[in-house]
Amino acid sequence: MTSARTPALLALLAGAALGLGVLAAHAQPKPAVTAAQPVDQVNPQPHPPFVANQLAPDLWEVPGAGSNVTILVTDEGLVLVDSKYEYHYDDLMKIIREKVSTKPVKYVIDTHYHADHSGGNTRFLPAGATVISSIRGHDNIVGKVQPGAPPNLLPANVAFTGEMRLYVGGKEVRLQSYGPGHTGTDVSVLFPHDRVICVGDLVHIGDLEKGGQYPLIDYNGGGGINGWIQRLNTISSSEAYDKVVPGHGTVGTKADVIAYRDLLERLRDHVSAYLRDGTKTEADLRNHLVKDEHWPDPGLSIVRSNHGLYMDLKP
Amino acid sequence: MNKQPLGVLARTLAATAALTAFGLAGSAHAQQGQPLDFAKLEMKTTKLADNLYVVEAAPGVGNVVFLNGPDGILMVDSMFPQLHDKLVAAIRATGATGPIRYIINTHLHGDHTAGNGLFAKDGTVVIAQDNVRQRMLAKKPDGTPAFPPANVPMVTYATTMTLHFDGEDIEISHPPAAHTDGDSIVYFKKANVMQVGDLPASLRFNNIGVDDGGSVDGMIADGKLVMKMANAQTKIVPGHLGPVVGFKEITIQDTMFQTVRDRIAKMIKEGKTLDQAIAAEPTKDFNEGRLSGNITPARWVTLIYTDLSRRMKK
Repeated sequence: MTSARTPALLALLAGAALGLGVLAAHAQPKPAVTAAQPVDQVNPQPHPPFVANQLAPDLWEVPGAGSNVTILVTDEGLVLVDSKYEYHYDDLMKIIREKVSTKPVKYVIDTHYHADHSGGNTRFLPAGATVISSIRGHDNIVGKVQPGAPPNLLPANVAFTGEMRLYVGGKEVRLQSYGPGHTGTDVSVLFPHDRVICVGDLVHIGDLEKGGQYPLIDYNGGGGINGWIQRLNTISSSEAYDKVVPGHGTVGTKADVIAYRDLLERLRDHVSAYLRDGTKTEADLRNHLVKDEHWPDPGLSIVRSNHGLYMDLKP
Repeated sequence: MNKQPLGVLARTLAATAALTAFGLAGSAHAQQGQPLDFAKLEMKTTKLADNLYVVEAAPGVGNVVFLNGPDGILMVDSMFPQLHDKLVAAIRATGATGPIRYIINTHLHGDHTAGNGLFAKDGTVVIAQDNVRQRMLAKKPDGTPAFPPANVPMVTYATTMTLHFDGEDIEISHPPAAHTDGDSIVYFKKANVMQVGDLPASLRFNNIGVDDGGSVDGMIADGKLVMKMANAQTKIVPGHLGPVVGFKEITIQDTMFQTVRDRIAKMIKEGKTLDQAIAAEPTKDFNEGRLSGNITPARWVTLIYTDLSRRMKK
């Protein structure tokens, strides 16, 4: 559901009338009143035609509705990072076939378990691809942890904890799974030869004024703000990449990873300071986030993050 | 004594037809140094659960566990390429018709990995611990890889993986270095079947990959670890012989490993040479039922002596 916390994208997906109120709320220091409805994860939604952007001679990206999808092309087949919603499958494959490659899809990697990233599992698995996630990502899909996720969503058939590597058509792909972050299932994917890293929703780039400034910390799915900050410290300390592909929005650089780490640190410190005297309730924090931080309410970020943030950071 | 580096010999043993069968004493293949005659090996299939089998290249050359179902077939290890057709025929004879989708290698040695390439060229994905790949691709003095690149796993993991296939949950874990530093234990959780590769399990003198990161102390520790990970009902499949053993066999092996390790350590401390250690026959009271194959008592003592003397020097 992470895409739904991006009001611009939400407006695109769920209709302009819905998005306008949320956007308007950002401009004014008062609580947003428009209810940000979750994107329908099951029934097809209209979306602008997909495009494919080339990031390197053998690396492409299909941004837009659902999630960003990154595609590595090798002689032995394709490696996909994320796969949008299941109902995007036909359009996604169409743009890949037209613009990218006609090779078979050999591996699909879920950067986390949310259905806007993992939805394609349901189609790629029966088609014979190996679908990879973190072990907790697999378990969260089996346990139906995400509200509103398609009931038929298939978990990965290969899962891991720690590090994993793929060697496909002479190219190496490095996967790293993490502890608590955006979720407890986050995986980053590095293409060392292209110096590109895919970080899923651990980083927002290009939408920090359009919803990305309100992090969805999926505590129910194993996420946590302190862990998230640690993840970004780890990723920003790596010298192995130049380009960063986020789960939504635009391709950026390490500076964007650091900027998002700083945003999370500021939020954590601000909330910790607010809760420090030990008198505040969960409802107080929610009001505070709305009034002082301008979080849209109700909105997916506040609905999913507030309770966990309160329990995590209260003294 | 043989001055050939142990790792090279161990690999040669495992990777070429110089390997003799690991059969029991008195078998036709028990004679030391006799080349492996692939034509004479017989595939014996044992059903372990509804959709899970072990195929043994008998006598003792290797065990391949395979899972069959709607998603296709998953195998643990791949035997030698010379056995490919027989192995596939044995799998098909159970009624399994699907594609062979995955192979998991328990470690790098050729008797477990040399068959990979013939499956991989048909699209099978081969999975192993990171160090398996690194060691298989390590350069020999002449600059060529230690193992044929076609047999090298293309998916590797560091610590833990799970596969979800044919309704089974398969847990693959990397124990502390024992037989090699790239060992995997493959646990079929629903069927309660655990393939432990060449960790101590069946009654034999196990090869120890002393030049592949393995050690006698690692073998002892991982034998105990297997008994913690498994339960008394678990069907434990060793890399050779069996094809099914339990805690009883692992405990017997554990006693032998510890006893012989201690005897050899004592001799090293006393300044005994390798030849003296072999002549003392520290395995004598354990030889019964284990006298076969290229890992003779003398070879086994050599492996342990080499490993311990390296470590005791440090």
